[in-house]
Amino acid sequence: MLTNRCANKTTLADLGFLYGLLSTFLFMSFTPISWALPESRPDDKTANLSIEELLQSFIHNGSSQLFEGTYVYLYDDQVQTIKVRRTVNNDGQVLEEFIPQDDEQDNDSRILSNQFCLLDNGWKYQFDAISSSFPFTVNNTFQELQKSYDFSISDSKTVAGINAIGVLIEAKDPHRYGYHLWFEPETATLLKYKLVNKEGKAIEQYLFTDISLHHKVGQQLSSNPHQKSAQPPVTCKQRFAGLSAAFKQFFNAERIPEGYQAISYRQGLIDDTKRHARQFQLSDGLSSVSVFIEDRGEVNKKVKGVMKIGPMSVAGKTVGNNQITVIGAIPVDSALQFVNSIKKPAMP
Amino acid sequence: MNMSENEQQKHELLSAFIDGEQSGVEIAQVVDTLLNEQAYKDRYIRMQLVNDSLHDQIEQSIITNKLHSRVSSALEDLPAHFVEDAVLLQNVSTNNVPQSHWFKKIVANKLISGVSVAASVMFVTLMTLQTFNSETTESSGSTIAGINQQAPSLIQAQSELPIALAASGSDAVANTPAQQYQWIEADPALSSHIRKYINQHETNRAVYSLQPKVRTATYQIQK
Repeated sequence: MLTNRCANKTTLADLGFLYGLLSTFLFMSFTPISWALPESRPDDKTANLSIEELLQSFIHNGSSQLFEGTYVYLYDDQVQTIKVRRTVNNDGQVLEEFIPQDDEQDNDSRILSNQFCLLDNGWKYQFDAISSSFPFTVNNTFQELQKSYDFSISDSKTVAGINAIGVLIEAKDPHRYGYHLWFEPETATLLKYKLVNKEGKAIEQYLFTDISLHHKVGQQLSSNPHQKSAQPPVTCKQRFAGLSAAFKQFFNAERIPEGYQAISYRQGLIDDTKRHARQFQLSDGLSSVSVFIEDRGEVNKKVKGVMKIGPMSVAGKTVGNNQITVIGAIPVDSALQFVNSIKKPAMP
Repeated sequence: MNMSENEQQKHELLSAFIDGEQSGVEIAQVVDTLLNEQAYKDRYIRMQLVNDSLHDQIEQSIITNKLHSRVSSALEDLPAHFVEDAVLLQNVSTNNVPQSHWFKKIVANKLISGVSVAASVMFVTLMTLQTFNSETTESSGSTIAGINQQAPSLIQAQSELPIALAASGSDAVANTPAQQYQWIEADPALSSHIRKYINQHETNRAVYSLQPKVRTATYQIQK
């Protein structure tokens, strides 16, 4: 099913390996799209960057770039402000802390770890690193992404006082939303993120209002003696065990929206409930959908139909003895299509 | 500096903030004010909405003149809602019937004709409604009959259903008996239930889960 190559912490060696491997894949498969910067050039160093090089830099630097700043989340009539700070902890890991400023949400933090596996289910690799404080990750090669999205450079824009490079990512079909992104030119740190529908209308957006970029983690780690992770490694075999077989068991592959592939599978509890479920994650490389399959007897509150909460579309129905629930920042009809891709159980 | 000058300066700072034209001290000043003054935050929200709406109107006029496209794009970002009979749609669709067909089939049986609307939803849709009504009068007045001030939910309902349904709805409306759709408050337990799935989804894709505090409403067919 997969090649067991996994790293669960951010170290210099890991980053070097990832960068080397990603570079190999990206440069082998990318069709360069060169772009000329608008008259207002964000930075001379980026004047001749291609989009794929910019995204590659985002992937490479994303989980190691240290900064401190404030960003706002905008949805509908909601505005939430979060301070975010990335530092290196005593174990040499990058710690990202979130401090919501204006609501009842608790402070939160996470360790930025690189989980990287090579799959053989038609995808070259699955890259599960946290490259941004925003919900934007890149899970496949640029060549694969281009099958579902059109990429172009948009006008530069001042974000958090930085003249940022704009990248417009438009969905080629109605099965997914698009993105409008603005990157800090030197480190490719994502400064502004818009999830947009097919008309270009913002569904939700995040943007930094101020940010101070610090050293990358590699520069700090060189003087940090604590580089060893205290966490036990999670192997790819553990993480993705049974993905292919389980996908075949539950899905009609030809019915899922075009471009999506199963990239992870687990059996476990849902959030803080005691309910046990199978959870598949499917992705087209940018957009990501979770499909939960539970014994319907264990679900006291079932989703029957479609629903939206913020940018999230939710669809659910009962198939045999299973309750199916689909969640993702995707159009409603795509969520319905995922629900309909679940196989009916064979008659006894 | 008197009060009005101070307000004027704050307004200008806010405008620049929305346009991303500030840096340093000015941004910190705006953020601090946003965090401490509810009225300032409310104004920010209004300005942001107007800014987005204006942008959208320009985008739409460039992209298309088709009514259903305008309807479809009107409120992709509406608060949570629920189409209760969608499960019925699912049952039809699993019988190897192409989606466009089963959606037309449903439209033939279930007509979206009238709705009630929550105030917050009305606010969000105000600008789009004006465009929609004028377009309806000119090009398809008999297509979606009975549109009045309750129309925003109708727009939302169609915009959130798959495009095949929204596009084909116009043919079905004039020829089928009316069935009422209504906005109701969502079951809080259902909303809470869904948010647990979302938390799990976000955890699995390794992103910080920041769920918008949208009012949860359900969209239901009146039997």
